[in-house]
Amino acid sequence: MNNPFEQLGIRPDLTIAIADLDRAYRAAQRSLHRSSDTRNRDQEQARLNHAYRTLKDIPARYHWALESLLGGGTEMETPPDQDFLFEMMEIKEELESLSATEDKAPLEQLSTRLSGKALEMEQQLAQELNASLSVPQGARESATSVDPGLLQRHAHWKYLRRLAEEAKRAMAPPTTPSSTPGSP
Amino acid sequence: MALLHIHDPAAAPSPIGIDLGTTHSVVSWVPPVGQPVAIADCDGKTLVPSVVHYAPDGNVLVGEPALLKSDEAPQETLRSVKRWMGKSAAEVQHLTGSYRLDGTETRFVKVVLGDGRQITPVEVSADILREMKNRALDELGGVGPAVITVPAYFDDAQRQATRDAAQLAGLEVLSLLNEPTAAALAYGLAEKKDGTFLVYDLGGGTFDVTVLILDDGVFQVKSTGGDSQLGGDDMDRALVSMVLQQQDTALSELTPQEQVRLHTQCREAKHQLTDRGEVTITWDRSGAQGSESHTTSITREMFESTILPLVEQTLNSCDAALKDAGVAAPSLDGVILVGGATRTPLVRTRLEKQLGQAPMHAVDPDLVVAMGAALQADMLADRAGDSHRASNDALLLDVLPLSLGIETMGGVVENILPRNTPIPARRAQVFTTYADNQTGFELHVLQGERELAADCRSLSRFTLRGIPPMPAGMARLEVVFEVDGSGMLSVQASEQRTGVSQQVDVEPSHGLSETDMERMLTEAFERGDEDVKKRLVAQRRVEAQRVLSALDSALGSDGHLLTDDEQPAIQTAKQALLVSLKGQDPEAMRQRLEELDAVSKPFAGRRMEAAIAGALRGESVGHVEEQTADARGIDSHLPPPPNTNPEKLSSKE
Repeated sequence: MNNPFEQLGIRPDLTIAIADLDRAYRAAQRSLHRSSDTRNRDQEQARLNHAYRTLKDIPARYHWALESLLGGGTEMETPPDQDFLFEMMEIKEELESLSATEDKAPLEQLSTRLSGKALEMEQQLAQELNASLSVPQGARESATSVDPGLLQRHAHWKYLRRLAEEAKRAMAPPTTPSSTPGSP
Repeated sequence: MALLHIHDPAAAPSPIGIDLGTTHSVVSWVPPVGQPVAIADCDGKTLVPSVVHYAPDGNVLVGEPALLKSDEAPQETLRSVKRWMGKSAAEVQHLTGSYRLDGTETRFVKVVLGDGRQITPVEVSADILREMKNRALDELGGVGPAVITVPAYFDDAQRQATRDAAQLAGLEVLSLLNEPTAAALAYGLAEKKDGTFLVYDLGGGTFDVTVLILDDGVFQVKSTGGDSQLGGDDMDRALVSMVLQQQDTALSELTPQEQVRLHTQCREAKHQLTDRGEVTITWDRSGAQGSESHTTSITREMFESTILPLVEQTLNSCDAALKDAGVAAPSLDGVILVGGATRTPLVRTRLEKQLGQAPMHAVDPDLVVAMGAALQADMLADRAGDSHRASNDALLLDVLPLSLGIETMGGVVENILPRNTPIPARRAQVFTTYADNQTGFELHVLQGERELAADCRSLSRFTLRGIPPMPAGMARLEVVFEVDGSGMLSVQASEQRTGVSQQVDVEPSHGLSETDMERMLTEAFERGDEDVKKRLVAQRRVEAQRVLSALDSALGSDGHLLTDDEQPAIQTAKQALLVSLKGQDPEAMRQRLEELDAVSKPFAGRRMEAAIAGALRGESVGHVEEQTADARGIDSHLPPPPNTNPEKLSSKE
C-alpha cells in the first residue's frame, strides 16, 4: 500500500498541520517538476495530488492510517459501544433543542465542548497510531495483534467529530450574513 | 552560445503576452533589461477596446475606431464576444442584447450582421488578436510566440476557442495562462515574496477570486471561485436601469442607437465618479413627437448604492474562497487587484473593510494580467532555447472548479472528485448492483455542487452491459475518474469479477454555460442543508427498498435457512421500517434499518454463503466470456434493465 507520508517525503505524523503538509506537497511537486525525467509526469503528479488529498482530509488521513496498520480487507466499520451511543443520542437531542432557541450562548458552549472532546480523542488516536506507524512495515506484528479497541475508538471519534461539525453548522447558518447595513 | 544573451529582434523576435479581455485587450513584452511593459499606440494608449466593426465593404476596424462606429452601426459592431466563446446560441441568447444570432444547427454560436453576413466569436477574437500582434510588430519589428490569458473559470471549449482564434490570427501560442496567476506573476511574487495571496479580479464581464500560496517558485492554487457573469459591464447596466427608472422609462422604449449611447454615457459617468462627487449625463428618447432629450445627474452616493449589491456579491465569493482554502482573512499576505472595475472606490473600501488590509495597487490593474503573460512568455521561450533556465520556471498547481461525480440510486450524486481537488487527479470508486440478476449499469456522469442529479449538469451517460447475473450487491463495479492537467476528464468503468469494461472521454464543462456554473455554485451554497436532508431521505429509502426486496426474495427462496425465533423478529423489524419510510425523518429510517439489519444478519450470512457456492458451481468460464463478447457488440439488443444505476460500495485510489 502506498504511504502518502512517504510519497510527500515526510515522517508519518497524524497531527501534521495543514501548513506543513502544504509545504511538503509543494516541495514534492517542485522536485518532480524540476526533475529531468518527463515520463509519466501527469501520473506522478496525480499520485502526489492523491497523497496530498488523503492527508489533507482529516478523516481520510486516519482511515488510511488504520487501514495500513490492519492490512487491506479488514472490516473497518465497527458498531459503537451502547453506552457511547446513548450518550451521543442525548447530546444530539440537546443540540436540537438548543438550535431552536434564540439565545446562542448555550449552543456555543456545547459546540466548544464537543469540538474540544473530539480534538482530545483525535490526539489520543494520533498518539496510538503514530507509535504503531513509526515501526517499519516489515517489523510490525501481525494485524490481529492491533488493539481491538482501536477500531471502536476510531468509530467513536468519527461520530463525535460529525456531531461537533453539526453543532458548528447550527451556530453559523449557511446563508452568508451580509455585513452591510443594507442596500437602499 | 549561452554566454551571449543580447536582444536582437532580427534573430529572435520577442515573445509577447496578450490579455484578451472582455472589454479591453492589452499586449505586453519584456525588454532585455527591466520590467514588462505594455505596448502603446501612437496616442500613448495601451488599452485596446475589445470591439470589432465589420463594415459593409468588408473593412474591419478594431478598438477605438470600431467603438466610434457603435452608435451608427450597432448591429455590425461587436463587443464583449469573450462571453460567447465556446458557447452554443442557446447558452448566450440572454447575453447578446440587440445582436442577432444563428447557430441552431451548429455547436457554436454565430452572430448575424445587418447585411446577413455571419461571423463566429472565434473570428472576432482573431481580429482582436491580429490587432494586438500588429501593435507588437510596429513596436518591436518582429513578433515571437505568445502567451494568452484566460479566466480561471474557462472550460475546455472556451480554452480551445481561444487557441483557435490565436491560430486564425497567425500567432504561435506558447501556452494559455489563467488570469489570476498572470497577475500574481506580474507582481513578481514568485521571486521576491512568498506567502498567501488573494487575487480579486473584477473585469468587464467576469469576476474571479483565487486564493493562492506562493512558495519558492511554486504557485499552489488553494481555491478558486467567482461570478462568471459579473463585471464592470454590470455596473454600467445597473446605472442604466437606475437612470431609466428615474424617468419611468423601459429600456425597450429606446432605439438600439439610443441604448448604446445611454450605455456609453453611464460608463463614462462611472469612470468620472472615481474622482468626482457628481456627474451629469444627457440622453435621448425618441417618442411620437420626435426625439426628446433628458438630463440626469448622478452623485457618487447614488452610484454606490446602485452597485452595492454587486460588490457585496463579490465579497461573498471572497469569503467562500477563503473558507474553501482554509485561510483566515488576517493571515493573507496581500490582496492583488486586477481589472479596471477595481478602480471603483467602493470596491476598494469594501474590500479593505472585509479583508482587514488595503489591497496592493502598485501595478496598473488594467495592465497587470498582460504583464504577467509577457513574463511567462519570456520564461517559456527562454526555456525552449536554453535548458538551464527550465529549473527557474514557475510551477502552477491548479484545482478543479466544480465537483465531478456520478448518479447513484435514488437520483443522488456521488461526488468522485470534489471541487478544488488539485489536478491532475485520478480516483476510483467501487459500486455494486441494486437488484438481483442485474446485467447492466447505467453510468451518468455529472458536474456540480448539488446533492441531486437533476440539479447538476449532465456531462455524459453510458451503459456497461454484459455482467453475469448475480445476487444484488455481489457485483463490483469500479469507476475511475481521471482528470489531466488541462482539466479534461475521462471515465472508465469495469466490473471486476468479470473484467467487462468501457471507457469514455468527457469534456468536463462542455456546453456548461458560465451562468449555469455560477447558478449551480450559488444554489449549492444556499441550499446545502435542505439538500443534505433530501439526499439522506432519498438514500435511506433506496437503501430500505433494497434491503426489503432482498429480504423478501431471500425469505421466499431460502426460508428454510431461518431459525424459529428469527422469523417473528424479522417481521416486526420489517413493519417498523415500513412505517418509518412513510415519514421524512432520515434518522428514524436509519435506526429502523439498523435494527432490521441486526436481526436478519445471521440469516443473510447463511444465504450469501449458499449463493456464492451456487454461483461458482453453475457458471462456466466459457459462458461468461460469451456473454461479455455479446454485450460489447454494437448491435447489442439487450434492453436496458430497470434500476440500473449503481450503488456505492467503497472507494479507493
